[in-house]
Amino acid sequence: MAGTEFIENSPETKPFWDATAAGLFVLPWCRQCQRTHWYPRGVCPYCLSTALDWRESPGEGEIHSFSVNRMRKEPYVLAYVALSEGPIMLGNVVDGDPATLSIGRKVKVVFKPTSGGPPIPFFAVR
Amino acid sequence: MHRDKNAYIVGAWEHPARKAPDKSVVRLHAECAAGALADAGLTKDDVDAYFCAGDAPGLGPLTMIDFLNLKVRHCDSTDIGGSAPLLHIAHAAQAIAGGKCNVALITLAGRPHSGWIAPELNPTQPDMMWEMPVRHTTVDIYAMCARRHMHEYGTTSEQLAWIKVAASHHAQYNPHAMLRKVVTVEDVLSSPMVSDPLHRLDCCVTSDGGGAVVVTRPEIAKSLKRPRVKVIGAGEAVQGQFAGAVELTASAARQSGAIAFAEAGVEPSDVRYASIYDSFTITVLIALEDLGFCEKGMGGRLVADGNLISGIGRLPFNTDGGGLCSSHPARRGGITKVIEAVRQLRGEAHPAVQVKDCTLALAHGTGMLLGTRHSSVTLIFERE
Ligand SMILES: [Zn+2]
Repeated sequence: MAGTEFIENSPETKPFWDATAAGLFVLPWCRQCQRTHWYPRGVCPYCLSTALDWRESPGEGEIHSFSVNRMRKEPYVLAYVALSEGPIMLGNVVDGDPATLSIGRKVKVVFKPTSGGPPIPFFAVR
Repeated sequence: MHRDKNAYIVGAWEHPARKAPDKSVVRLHAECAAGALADAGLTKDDVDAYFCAGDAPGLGPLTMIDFLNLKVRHCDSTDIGGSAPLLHIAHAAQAIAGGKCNVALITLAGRPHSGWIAPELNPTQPDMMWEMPVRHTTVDIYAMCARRHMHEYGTTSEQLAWIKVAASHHAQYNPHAMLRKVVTVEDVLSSPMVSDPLHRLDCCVTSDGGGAVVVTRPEIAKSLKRPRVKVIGAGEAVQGQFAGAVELTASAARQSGAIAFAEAGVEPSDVRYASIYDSFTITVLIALEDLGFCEKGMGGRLVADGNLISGIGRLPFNTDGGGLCSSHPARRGGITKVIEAVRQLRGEAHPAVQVKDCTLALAHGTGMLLGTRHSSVTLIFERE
C-alpha cells in the first residue's frame, strides 16, 4: 500500500494522492524545463527545479514490457507502461486474460481502493 | 591507475556451506575472513582495512570490525547490492594506491536459506511509495527485461536456457554446488514458469554461505607464496529509471565495462575467462552485450550452443556453476564471481573446467534490480 507513512515522509507528493482520491491522474510538469517525469518526487529530475505543476493526464499509454507471475493461485501482471506524455511507469495490469497481453497493447489508468490509504493507479486494457 | 601501484588479490576463499542453520551471519563472515587470510598466508593482525556491505548486520564496518576485533585505518561499506564486493575491491585498490592502507579484507556472508530477515522498509525512500503498492517480486522485474529483449532483438527462451545449461555443465564438477545435475535446454523450458517469460531454471539458487577476498599492495603480494592476481582495470556505474525513460535491455555495464577495459588497456576478445553475475539468465545475456563481448542484441547467439561452456565454447563463464547452480549467498553473488576468477587465474579451478593459459579474466557484478535501479561493477584481472 502507498501507506500514509510514505506520504507523510514525502509531503511533496500529497497533491498526487489527493488527486487519486478525487479519481484524477496527474503528472508532474516542470515550469523551468517544460518536461514531465515519473515518478513524482517534488523536484525535477532533469533540472532540479522545484517549480513544478501538476497536470491532469488521461492516463493512457501502451505496454512497454510486462511479466506474468504464475507462482500464485491467480496470476498477476507487472508492466512498464509508456504513457502518452512520455514517461514509462511501473504498474500492474489488473483486468483481462494475461495470455492476451502483448507489448504495444493500449492501456489506461484505473484506480483501485486501498485500505487505509488513497486509491492507487493500476492499468486496464483499453 | 598507475600500473606500478596496482593492487593484487592475494587471498580468496568461498565458504563451502550452502545450508548453515547452526551458524550466525557474523560467524559466516568470520569463517570467510579466516579462510581468505589463510589462503593468502596472512593473519588477522595484518589487516588494516575492512570492507562489507548490507549483508553485514548492524552498522556495517562498525559492528564487524568490533566483532572481528580488527585494528584498521580504512573502511568502506558502500552498498550497491550484490555487486558491492567488486566495488569494494576497486575502492580497496584505490585506497592502497593512495597510501591509505596495505591489506584490505572484504567479506560477504548470509543465510537466506536458513532464515532471512528482510531489510526494513524505510518510508523516506522516495521510490518505494510508487513501487510498494505495485504487486511484484524480483523475478517479475527481470522477466520484463527478458520480454523486452525478446521483443527488440528476437532473443528466445531457448537462447536464455543455454546460459543455465552452461552453468550446469560446470556445476557437475563442483562438489559444493547446490544443483549438480547437468540440464538441457528442454529441461529449462519445461521447468515451471515462475514469471513469464522466465522459468524456474532461469533463476539462481538461494543459499547460505559467503566468501572473502584479501587485497594488498604489490610489495606485500610479491612477498607471499601464492600466484599473483593483479587488478588491472575497474569500472563502476549506477543506472536507474532515467526519470521515466526506462531502459530495460541495457545496463550500467556499458559504462563500467568501458571504463574497466580502457583502464586495463585490453579488449573483450583478450578475456580468457569471465565471471558474470547471474541472478537470472537474462542478467548474464544483457551484461555480456553491454561489456562488448558481442553487439547489442546479439547476446542470444553468443550464449547459444554451448559457447559459454569451458572446453567447448569461445567464452567460458562461471566455471564454479555460478549463482545459477552453485551458490548465491546472502542473495548477493558478487564475491563468488571474484573468487572463481581468481581460481581460474591461479590454475586452481577444477581440472575439468580450468581454462588453459588463463592469463586474463573478468569479473562482473550486477547489483539490485536490472529493471528499476541497479549497479554494475567490472573488474579485470591479470595473472602475473
Ligand atoms: Zn526541469
